Amino acid sequence: MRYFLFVSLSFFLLSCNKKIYQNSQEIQLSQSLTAADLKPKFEKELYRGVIDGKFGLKKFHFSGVLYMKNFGDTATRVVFQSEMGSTFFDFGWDHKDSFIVYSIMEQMNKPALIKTLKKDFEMLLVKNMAKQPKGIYNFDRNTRENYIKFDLEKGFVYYIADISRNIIAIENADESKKVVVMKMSPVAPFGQLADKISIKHLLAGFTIDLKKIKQDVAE
Amino acid sequence: MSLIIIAAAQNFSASAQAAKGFTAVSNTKTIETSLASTAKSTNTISSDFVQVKHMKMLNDKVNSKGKFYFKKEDKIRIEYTSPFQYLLVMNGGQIMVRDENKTNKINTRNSKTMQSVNKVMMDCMRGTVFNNKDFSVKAFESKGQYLLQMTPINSSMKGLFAKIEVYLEKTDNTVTKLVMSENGGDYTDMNFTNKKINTTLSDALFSVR
Repeated sequence: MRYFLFVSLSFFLLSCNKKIYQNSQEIQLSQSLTAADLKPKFEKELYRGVIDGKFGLKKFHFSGVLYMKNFGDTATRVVFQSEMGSTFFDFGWDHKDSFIVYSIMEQMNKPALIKTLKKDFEMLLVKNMAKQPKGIYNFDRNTRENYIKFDLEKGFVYYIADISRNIIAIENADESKKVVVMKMSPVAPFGQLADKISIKHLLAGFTIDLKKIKQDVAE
Repeated sequence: MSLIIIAAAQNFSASAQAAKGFTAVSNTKTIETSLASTAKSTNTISSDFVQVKHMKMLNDKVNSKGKFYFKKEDKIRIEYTSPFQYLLVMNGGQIMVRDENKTNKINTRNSKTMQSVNKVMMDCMRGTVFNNKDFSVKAFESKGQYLLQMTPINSSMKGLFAKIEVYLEKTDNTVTKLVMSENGGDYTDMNFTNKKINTTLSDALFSVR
């Protein structure tokens, strides 16, 4: 019995420590790569956004329009509003990538939610990252996908790129579990945002689907 | 889900000053009587609309457009057709929302806020704005239009709206523009064109099933 407990506990501890990104091989690219190369460059973008999830036993679903605007190299604003125009949240980053909440509706004004959304947009827009990646890795020679790693305050983020310098996906994880997976469709060249971005929060249990709207943003 | 409705409600906000070219109407009885008379004879309204969200600090706008339908007593259908597809149907105490690929139903009887939002929309179309107890209403007029300025009274509505402005054509008392202002200064206006009164509108348009 004691032996059984020991074996069970060992298996449990081993499974907890199991790394999700295994057999990595650090690689050197022929061209140097910085966070600035990955950072999406745009004046403004408009996306249709649909959010689905579950909070306790209650499912939730809502949609809106995501507006993103860059002010040169100095600042960025991200506004999510309902189809009828009212603002769900209005976030910004200044020239030093300092985060600002300009407004957020009362029902969404929860520190944990704001932190989650901030991290999502910072990964997507490549904000508050080190200038150089911590490393570039390959986990499977057959796929030839490069995992460009940046450390975050907690865990890390991989920008997964193909050999033609397109972003396929973005993954946020720690050593034992993936937290957020963002898939680009179609793949987006470095410095551009994909037409479709599917964001899955694996632990928080909700998804954000973004689809680019290519018209009707007027001055 | 309630976020959708609350957000819809937030769009409708207004300030206490009249728009340019309008003067205050001290005795609103004449307008109320006129609106009540029009409401009696209005069974359906259909129109196109163009919506513009004005983002003050960003000095930018987001445009959309679609179709609007009203059927007496309490049915509204707002159908966005560009640049995205989105459908909002209000029918009695029920609300149905359909976006890209999902349909959601809400029973407003479970939420006072949703009841209020539903009532605002209906009042704008039925000309019963003055009866809405969630708002104080001031009336203004120009040569061709009435402007009804709705300022929220209760705290939940104050959190959602700064004010709602309803512009009505004097000739037929139809709503020609809605301006919904947020507390931060952003506002959304909806301009209604190609209005058709009392055409036949199928109940299927307002189905929330």
